[in-house]
Amino acid sequence: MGLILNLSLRNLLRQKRRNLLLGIGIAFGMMILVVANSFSHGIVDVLIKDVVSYAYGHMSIDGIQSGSQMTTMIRDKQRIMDAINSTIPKEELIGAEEKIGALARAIGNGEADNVFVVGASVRNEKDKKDFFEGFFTLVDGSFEDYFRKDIEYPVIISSAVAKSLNVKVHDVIKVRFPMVTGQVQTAQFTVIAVANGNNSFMNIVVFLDGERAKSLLGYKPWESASMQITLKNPQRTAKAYADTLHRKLQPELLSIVGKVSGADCQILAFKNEDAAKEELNRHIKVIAGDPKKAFAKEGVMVSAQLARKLNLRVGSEFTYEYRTKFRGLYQEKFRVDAIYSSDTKLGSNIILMNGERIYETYSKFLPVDTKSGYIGGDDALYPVLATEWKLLERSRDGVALQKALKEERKIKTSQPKLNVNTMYEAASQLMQFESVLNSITLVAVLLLFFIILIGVVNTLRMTIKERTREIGTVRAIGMQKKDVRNMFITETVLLAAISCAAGIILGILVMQILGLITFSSSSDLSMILKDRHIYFKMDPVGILMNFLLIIFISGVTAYFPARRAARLSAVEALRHYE
Amino acid sequence: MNVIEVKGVTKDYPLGKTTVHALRGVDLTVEEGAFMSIIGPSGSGKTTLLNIIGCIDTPTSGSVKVHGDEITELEDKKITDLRLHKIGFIFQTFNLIPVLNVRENVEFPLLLMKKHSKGEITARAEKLITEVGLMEYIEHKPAELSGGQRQRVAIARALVSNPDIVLADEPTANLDSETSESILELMRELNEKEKTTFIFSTHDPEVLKYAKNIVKIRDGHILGQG
Repeated sequence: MGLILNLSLRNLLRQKRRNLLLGIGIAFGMMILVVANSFSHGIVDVLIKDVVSYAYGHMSIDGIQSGSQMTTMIRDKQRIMDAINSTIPKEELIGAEEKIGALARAIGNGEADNVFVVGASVRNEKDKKDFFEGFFTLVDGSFEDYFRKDIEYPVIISSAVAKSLNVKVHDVIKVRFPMVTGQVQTAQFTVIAVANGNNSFMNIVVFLDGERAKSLLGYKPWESASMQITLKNPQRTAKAYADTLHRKLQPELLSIVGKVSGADCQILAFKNEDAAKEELNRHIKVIAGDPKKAFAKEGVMVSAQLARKLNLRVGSEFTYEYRTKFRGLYQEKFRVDAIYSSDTKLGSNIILMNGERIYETYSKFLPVDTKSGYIGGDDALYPVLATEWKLLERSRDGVALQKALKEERKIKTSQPKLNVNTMYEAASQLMQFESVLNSITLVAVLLLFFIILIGVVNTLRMTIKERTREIGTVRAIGMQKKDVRNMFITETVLLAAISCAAGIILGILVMQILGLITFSSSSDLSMILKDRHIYFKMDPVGILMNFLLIIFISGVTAYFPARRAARLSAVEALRHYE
Repeated sequence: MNVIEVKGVTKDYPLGKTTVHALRGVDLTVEEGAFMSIIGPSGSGKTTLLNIIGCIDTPTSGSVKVHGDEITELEDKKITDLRLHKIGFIFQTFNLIPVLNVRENVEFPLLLMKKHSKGEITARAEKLITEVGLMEYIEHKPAELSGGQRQRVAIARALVSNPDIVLADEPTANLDSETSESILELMRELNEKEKTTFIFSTHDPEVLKYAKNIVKIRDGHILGQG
């Protein structure tokens, strides 16, 4: 092998110009491959790691509240936190944070623009380090002012926002945004720092202390918009944890245990769906009142026993009283639309009502006592009864998620919804972007290499023709056919390997140079920039695979001409004259 | 002892629509240690005969035995091995490998054998390069040598594997008369010293004075062996 390698290497150097030109072609192709590959990996890294994981977290549990408009709302964040903590082991969890934000119209000094107000809680020194040092490059002002109590709403803005609103540190920005209640809120923010984030997503964001943002947007302390979970090994664990969390967050039946005129009662709700109502109608009998009204959106039915006990008739009003989790004792008046009798597991003290009548009350005034256990999943009435929320099915990808949300929007209901997703589904289109980018690169490069390999074959044919007598000589002296064949294959493979290696080095140099260019943060490229530079992320395994693929293709391409050379008759080859 | 026995060998070449009968029933025996010249005019069949004896060409019919092995029955791999171990070649146009220097060209057959140590190969090659008087050119490439020097390198290469037979096809055809004489002297000297059988073809009667045995060939027939 040493002899063949030595001969091949020397023969390569012998035809310098021809091999140099071919080598430059291969090196150039490899360089494009390395740069394009690293560029696509870089884009995805920036988009996924910075933008997407910032926007979605590795996992996200979103509460969706339907009303005049869809808003994000989790009514009992502690319950969600408990589910998270019981699902994800501490060693796998980096953090589970509330995600609070709203799109707002901001007015600065004679300029206005849309901004995204984001609540960011900085509680301790670690948070300070992670948030201020990890995310920002301070341009002006002081991060310490973020905690000042004498400023109503201290905010950090980016240079881009400062420029678009024509404001500087200590200036005031007036903002207008929708609250979670649907009202439009206005506020005055004071710029305490201008700082640039490490990705373009930060360019439109105005950071405000998390608690202040919550209260400003209308969230109660026990509520949140959504919970954003950051994991240590998201690629490996996110989907599995999301599936487990999804199972744990299956809703209970909507049930409120309370009192009417001192008598123990329980509200259960039925689904506002025709099939559910029909099924329920089979199990109960409306003995007084208009059944149509009883099953309508606002319909309230009282059991015959309870009606007797409380002396209620159709049209009577009663006050339902129950203890809530966060707001003390709550009372609400209801009007009896019908009285029913039932021979099912429904207890004698049950007040049945359409879910649409009670969802909002239930969500806002979460009951302490729900005790709905005696109607189990296998009970015929179970599918008929409304649940505390609707848990959306886990979505396969971003398209499915958007489709599911669109479908949900069509259903006019005030039942809250809960959605569990990971960034891999939420941003699946973005993830697909990487493979599409890689495929395009690969196709382009394969095309380039196909052209180059035609060059390899031609060069080899010329070389073989020129060296026919030499082939005759070495065969006459005693070189075996396979050694002659291997000699030519080795020559080609060596040329491809050296050229590819040069192409990789060249690619790294090109990336270094391109990486030095600083782009404006308002540039069209800003979405894919990192710290205002193009970010290339080398994928050594991918590059090695491409390298090996090219070597393999070169070897295969060289095989047939080399075999033909080896099969030349020694005597014919010795007779050959150019 | 006969190292080569050729019996009834014919060789036909297609040439366009006709067939060239290069050898027409050749019988030849070569004894060990011979210094034989095959003489004949151009196109008489000298090179064809040498190629067949050297196992780089096969006869159309007849029998060729090299050291008792019937070469017409051997497969390519074995014939190649036979050439490597038993036969040395000297070509009219030297046929050195241009990318290798003198030492490497001479070492080449030993490297192909893959059975000698690096030290043995170097020692053997240097011994022969010294014998052909080219030690001072040992690191030179063929392109940096004269025709005579190249042929000396070719002789050293042919002898380095200690073959039983060295075949030289018109070894002096591309050399001036003075160099030709020195090459023939060298071959003769090595024949006597190494006891190697030399068979060389020529069409130059001047060369004959060096030969111990002469075979005359014309139109594919051996006219006489003596």
